[in-house]
Amino acid sequence: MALGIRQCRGLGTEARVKVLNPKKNILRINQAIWQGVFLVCLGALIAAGFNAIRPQGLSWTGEWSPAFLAASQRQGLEEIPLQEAWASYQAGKVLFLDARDPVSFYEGHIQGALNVPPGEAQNYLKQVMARARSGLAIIAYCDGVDCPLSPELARTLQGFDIPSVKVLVDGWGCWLKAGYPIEKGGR
Amino acid sequence: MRARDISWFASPYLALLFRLFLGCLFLYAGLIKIVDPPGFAQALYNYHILPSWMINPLAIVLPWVEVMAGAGLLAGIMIPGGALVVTGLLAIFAVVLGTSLIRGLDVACGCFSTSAGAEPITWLYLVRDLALLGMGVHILLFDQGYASLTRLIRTRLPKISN
Repeated sequence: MALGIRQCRGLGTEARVKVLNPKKNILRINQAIWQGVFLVCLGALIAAGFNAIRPQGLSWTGEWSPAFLAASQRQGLEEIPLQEAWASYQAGKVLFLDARDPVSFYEGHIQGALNVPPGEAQNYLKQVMARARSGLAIIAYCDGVDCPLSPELARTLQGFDIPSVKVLVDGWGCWLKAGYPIEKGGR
Repeated sequence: MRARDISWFASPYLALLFRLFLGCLFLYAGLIKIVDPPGFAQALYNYHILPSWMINPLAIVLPWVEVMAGAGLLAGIMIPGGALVVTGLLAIFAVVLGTSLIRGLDVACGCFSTSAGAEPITWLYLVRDLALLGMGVHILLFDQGYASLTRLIRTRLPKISN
């Protein structure tokens, strides 16, 4: 008796699992492909329309060059030209923060700079804050036009209310090229 | 495995559950990205996998495709198509996540948030993606259109017109 019920149940499930019938599945896949193509096209059409009318719509041919990206990373941050940074350096009114990794810093950095990778900014807060309060301009730099480290460091420091943090774009490269004083060695 | 053992797995009610879940998820994921196109474009760029010219078009179109597929699944319109789109997208995401993890990229997922400061991807993200992919395939195979607008229209409309 029990066996009979089990067999009946077994039959019932087999009937339900019949969805796996290959012919039916091929039909289903065909239908899925056509509907999928339709959904993608409809999505693209609405996307194009919506993008055209919304105020902050993206351009279809957006620029993703390193220089463009670096500019967007620095949005809202104050940049300082090399000449101005050099003048402040000569007047002794600046603290350079090298946002690169310690190895790069060891191999060479702007004379008198402090090595502060963005992730370690908190450890240097007191030191930097004291120098900023004594009237020094704080200038963060790293290497390369598209280097994200100095904007990140500047933003972090600004978040801790440290005044007058500026970014020297491609600081290390420009400084080196200009032949201004550098030094080697650890922190 | 006997048919009886997989009967619960092949259940159209389970497919319905997955369908509603994936529908909500894709609708949400798409809307989040529509709100902030530059953020999503940045997230796409960060993967360093796409050619530069593809980033903005994809950042414009992909969120809407997600919304269309998600809304379709949720409402029960074009379920096989929606399931196929969702499954295809999840498969592409799996490849992108996998290669990015192997390359050791320290990027934010860009899946349910467009913030670059969000936590970086881990292997768990890939596992989550594959679980969702499994749900998509399940819908594709076993969904029978329960609680769908399509079925409602098919069953109710003739009665109304009579």
